[in-house]
Amino acid sequence: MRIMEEMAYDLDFTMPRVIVTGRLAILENITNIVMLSENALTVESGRRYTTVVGEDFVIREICEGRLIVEGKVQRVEFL
Amino acid sequence: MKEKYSVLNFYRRRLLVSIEGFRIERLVQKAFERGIAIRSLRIVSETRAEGWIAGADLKELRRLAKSLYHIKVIDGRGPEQKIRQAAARPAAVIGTILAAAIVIVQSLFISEIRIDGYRAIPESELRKCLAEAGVSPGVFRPAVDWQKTEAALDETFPQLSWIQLVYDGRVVYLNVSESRGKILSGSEESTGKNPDIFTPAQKDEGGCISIYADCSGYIESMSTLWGLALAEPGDYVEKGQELISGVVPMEATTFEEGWPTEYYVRAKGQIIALVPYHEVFSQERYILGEEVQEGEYGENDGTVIANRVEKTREQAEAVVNQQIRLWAKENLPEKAEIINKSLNFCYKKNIIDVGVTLEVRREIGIEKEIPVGQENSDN
Repeated sequence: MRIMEEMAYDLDFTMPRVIVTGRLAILENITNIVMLSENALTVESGRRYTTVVGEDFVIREICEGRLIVEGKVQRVEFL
Repeated sequence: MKEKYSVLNFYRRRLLVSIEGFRIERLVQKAFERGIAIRSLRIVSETRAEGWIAGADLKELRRLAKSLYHIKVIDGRGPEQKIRQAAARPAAVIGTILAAAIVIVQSLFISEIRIDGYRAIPESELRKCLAEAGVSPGVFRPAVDWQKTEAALDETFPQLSWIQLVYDGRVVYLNVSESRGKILSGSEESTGKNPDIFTPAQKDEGGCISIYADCSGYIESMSTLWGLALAEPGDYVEKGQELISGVVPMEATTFEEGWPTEYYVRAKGQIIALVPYHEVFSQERYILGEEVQEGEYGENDGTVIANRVEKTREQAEAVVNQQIRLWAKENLPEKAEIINKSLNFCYKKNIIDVGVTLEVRREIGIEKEIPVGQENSDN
């Protein structure tokens, strides 16, 4: 990764950043919670919307622009 | 205004709340914007969700929810929550404190005293000494003066070389070790010679004694309270035989030279024996005719010789029984008991000799003082 790309990754707070590890998904840079359900959640990250689809979702934590969701993640969509 | 540390607040008191209403994500978004942390949020249905919030945030969340959402507290965790729950039930708190106080106060009273290590000193004497010093079951333990109690034991029983008086919970343990006596018996006490002679502290009762057989017999039971038993049940003992010795052998517990091999006690015990006795009682063979006529002996089938009637066996036996009772009253101790008797009638010219063999159960122990430390002593 070039240095400009790295800086954009670290400093652009208007783009969604998603980390999915096993049964955990971490969504960063969120500004608004659009939709919550047992099987899906949609958050707004400035310019983009991010939807995580899966099963048995439990939102572990929502704070400081970060949302941690636990459950069986099936797919992530960016709109 | 400084913001509260939310993580600490959360674990101090956290509440599981149920949020009911439409578009729950809107309330979550408002809470997110206000900095209210909702953890472990589970969407149960389209109109219901459950999540954990800090107790301090409940009021703010309800204010945000207005009348659009119904917020209900389901459960609570954390130390502050426990205190609040306890404060809501003062009777339970008072009951718990009272029960704890009872247990604590009860643990301050002595329930049992265990004594170990004694040899010649009876346990009852040690208990008596402890009781006199204020250590007995039921006594308030902090009020006991342990040093004073140890001093009292040391004073009462000078032969104790080591005293350990400790307590563990409600039980008091007294461990003692007997070795060199400080009181000498007989002439030793006054002269101070022969410091190796061991005697127990028997200031009032005097010197040391042994128990001997008062008469010959078979030992039926023997209980030795103090001293060394030299016979056992079933043994035949002669009159004068030593039954419980006041001289008790001991083994050295150190390699010190000149360690004594025995110490002296006041022997005490009860020896019950079966003692055989043989006596001959005599009585007149005939009864005068007048006595017969007066009916003193009732119907008499005996032979009538010159106005005299010979006694029947029953009459003779009645007389000899009376003689035995008189003899027993004069010759046997109070607690003696005649177990068996055998009568042998021997008819002579004018008298009847009755040989009586008795089996008597009686105590045969008799105390004799041991001349301790005297020159040319027999014992």
